[in-house]
Amino acid sequence: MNQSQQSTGDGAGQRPAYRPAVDILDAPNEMVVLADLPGVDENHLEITLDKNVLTIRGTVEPPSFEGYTPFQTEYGVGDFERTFTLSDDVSRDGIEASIKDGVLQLKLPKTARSARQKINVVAR
Amino acid sequence: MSRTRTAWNPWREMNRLRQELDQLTRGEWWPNVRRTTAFPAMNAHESEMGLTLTAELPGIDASKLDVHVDKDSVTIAGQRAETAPGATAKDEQYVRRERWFEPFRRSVELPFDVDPDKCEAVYEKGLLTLKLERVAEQEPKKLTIKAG
Repeated sequence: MNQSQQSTGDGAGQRPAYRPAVDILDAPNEMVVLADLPGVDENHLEITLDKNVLTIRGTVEPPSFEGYTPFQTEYGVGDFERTFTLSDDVSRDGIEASIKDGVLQLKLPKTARSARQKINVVAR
Repeated sequence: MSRTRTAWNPWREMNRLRQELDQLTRGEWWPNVRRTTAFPAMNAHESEMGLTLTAELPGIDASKLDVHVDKDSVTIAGQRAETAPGATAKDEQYVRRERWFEPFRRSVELPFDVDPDKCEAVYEKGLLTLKLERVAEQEPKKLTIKAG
């Protein structure tokens, strides 16, 4: 994983897209990305890989509060979007995505060349 | 007429400011400011019937979440597990860490009294929703004064 880019809310009058908090972990054979996407389930999630840019987009259906007026709002309700540029260490195949309780987990296996290898030493 | 604790609601002003800032910065280069630093971020909606609180709490074990409702305040406390399910924690290293894992406890004061026995809590898709019912107002008691 080289870098992550800020993606602003795209236009065309859509709802603003917020940038979710993520944790990125480096394991010997894979990279793991965990993203906080409260209010998103697997039917409202779109993950695309275009060349080496990975885009995560989750949509949230805002709850309807019929007859209610907002009293205090600390977070905006809207969609989530974030993009990442994958390095050559990450394999393009075998990417797994799963979501539970609003947390997206992405497992990106590393290419065989980049996975950590143990080299055995024999006495000569 | 509804009875509220504070006549002026500063959150309405901040909400309007935030909305205006969001509109100004949409498409600009800096990120939308969408939440406070308090964890969990909470929104509240009120009506004549009561209050609905929503809190963003992704990745929480609902059975370990502590939610207390008093007649004038609500407290949410807990902690979420750090490791992803199925991950091998020992070999992993953080390259980037933005999510919150510290234990949290937040109390909010309610603008009116609610009935703690009549509340409903639902945790779904990482959102906790609390529905609270307003307490019916009691008429002040009229006292008869005895002449001595």
